[in-house]
Amino acid sequence: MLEIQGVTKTFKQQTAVDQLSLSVSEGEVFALLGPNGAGKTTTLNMILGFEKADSGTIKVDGFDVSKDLPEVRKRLAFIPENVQLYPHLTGKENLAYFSQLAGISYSPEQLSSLLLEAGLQEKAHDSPVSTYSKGMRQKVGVAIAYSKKAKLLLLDEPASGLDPLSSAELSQLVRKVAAQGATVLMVSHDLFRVKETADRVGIFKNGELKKIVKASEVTANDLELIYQGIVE
Amino acid sequence: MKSILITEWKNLLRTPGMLIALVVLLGALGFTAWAGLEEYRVISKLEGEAKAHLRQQWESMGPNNPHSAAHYGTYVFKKNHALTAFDEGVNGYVGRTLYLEGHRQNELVQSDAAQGDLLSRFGKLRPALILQIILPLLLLLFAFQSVRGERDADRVRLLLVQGVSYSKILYGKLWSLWIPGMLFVLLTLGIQMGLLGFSASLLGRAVLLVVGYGLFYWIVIALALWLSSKTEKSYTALSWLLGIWIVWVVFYPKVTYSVAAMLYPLPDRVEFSAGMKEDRSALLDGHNPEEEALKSLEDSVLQAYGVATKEELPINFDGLLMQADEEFGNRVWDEHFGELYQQMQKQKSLVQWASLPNPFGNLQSLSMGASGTDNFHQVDFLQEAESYRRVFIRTLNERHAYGGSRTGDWGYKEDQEFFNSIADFQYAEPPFFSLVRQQTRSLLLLLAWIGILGIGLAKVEPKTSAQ
Repeated sequence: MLEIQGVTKTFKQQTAVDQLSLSVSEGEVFALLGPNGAGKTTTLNMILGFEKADSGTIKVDGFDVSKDLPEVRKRLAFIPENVQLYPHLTGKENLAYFSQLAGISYSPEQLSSLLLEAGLQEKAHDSPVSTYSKGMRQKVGVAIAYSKKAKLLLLDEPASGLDPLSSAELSQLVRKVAAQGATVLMVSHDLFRVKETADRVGIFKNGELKKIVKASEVTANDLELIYQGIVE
Repeated sequence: MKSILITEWKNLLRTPGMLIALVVLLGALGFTAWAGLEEYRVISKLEGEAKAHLRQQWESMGPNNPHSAAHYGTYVFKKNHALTAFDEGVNGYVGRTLYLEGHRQNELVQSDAAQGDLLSRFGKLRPALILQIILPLLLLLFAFQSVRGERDADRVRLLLVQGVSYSKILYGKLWSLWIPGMLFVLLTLGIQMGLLGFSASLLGRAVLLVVGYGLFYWIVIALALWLSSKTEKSYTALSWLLGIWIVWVVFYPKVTYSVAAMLYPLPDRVEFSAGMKEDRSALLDGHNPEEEALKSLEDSVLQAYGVATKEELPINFDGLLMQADEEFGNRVWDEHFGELYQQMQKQKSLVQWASLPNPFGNLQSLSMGASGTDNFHQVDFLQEAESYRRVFIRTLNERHAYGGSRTGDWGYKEDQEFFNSIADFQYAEPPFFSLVRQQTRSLLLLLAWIGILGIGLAKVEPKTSAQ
């Protein structure tokens, strides 16, 4: 589903991503783990089409990001660190608007059902988003991803700033999306959350993918030791 | 596009303070519209009464000498209608009334430059003032906030990932502000024309107003969206926008009008009158029989009638003399007016071309023009009134000459029926197409702005995060 081949990106002679090659298959959750400035978000932005790679190719469902961006964007959904919705609109109105932008119209019942599926309680559906907690906004973000029936879901530090309960709920939601056949690429520096959520973990340092670890084959402590060994 | 429009409107309406802003704006528009309507009513009433009084005086003066009647004089009034109540234009400075009398041509010493300078100090409170300055400023600020809001909240990436293009988002925002802006224009014009009445000609003018304001609002919103998208920092964008607004509305008009007045200076009222007086005295004075020119006129008339003295003429030579004096006066006026008009045209042309970087100047010109309150209408009114005055005086002088009296018979009188047959002055504004021709340059300049900004909006690259 996601194929990255030999991608390099530099900013003012500083290499942000160096010769990255990665393949993530359907239904898999892949996490990019690394300290700040490791190149994780730049990678995400290149997949989203907001940054152009200096060299290499990125393909989503066979479509090249640099050549077929509209086709790529039809197939992906994105949840940023802070899902910033329209604060004066309700959760349902926000979801309706974002799905309409993607060319899909839902009935009010379908919107409610999507929000419920994303874990947002019914009583919040018609409240302005300005009254939502961060966790609730992230759930609307997940509902937006659901609504688009995206084949690739990209998450940028999705659990950052969430309380442990909300964070765990979000992990479950991500697993649910993957179970339904979508591919997930998440960027995080939360080692324990990544271990909980991902199938494979790629450890980034100075723009290089140093190691890929299967989450099921290590404990959280093992992962931490591997990470420290690479990063420090 | 529809979903962007609806979402923008919901967002706008639910923004805290928006209701207060709407109420204040509607209140200001309502107040200015009321002020315009009230003045319209007062002026219409006073003009009606004055016209009736003057006509009544004219029709009840009884048998009178025609030349004496020429010195009775009368007042004529510029058009007063729903659109003059919408945009006061230069009327507040040049007035709406003229006094017409024999041997007395009116002066024209108010130039575009002089009026422009006065206008740039802001005119009376009229709906046009709100719709030209306050509402566009609000649209500009909302457009700025609309783009910066998305960027500062890092929402742009979320929107673009949905598959929509950035230019589509910008155009959605543009129309979402343009439509309410135009509703205010239509509402104001609708109320004013509904209350004060309208004709086909006024409807045409109202359409021109709507087009002018529509183009200008588009430019203001597009510029704010483009600049807010292009600049890195919020405060840079806001500083630029407010700076441009102040330059457009306050400084630029003042500078261009001052430069025009400096390059093509006009005489002041005293100079103009003194020049006219000097040239006139060099020609003929109908009340001073010693003049050489008088002798020449007398000789030609005596020769035409084959008599030796004025007393032998079958007509009253005094009437011819007074008409000749009038025509000399007219010639002097035409000459001075022509020179003045040439200078004013040069000023106007310079001001219009200088308005290329200032669409506000073009809107002002269009708004006053369509409302019938610009200098073009003022000049037309003066010319029409002067034409009427000339026919009016000639009719009286010719009656004096050919009505049956003899030279020197100053006691000769015409009956009331003759005076009643002279119609009042009826002023008709220039036809719509001549108005459009007059405003073509302003319209083209506004369209040029739209072309440039349209391309700019279609090509602007999104900044995908708060920077």
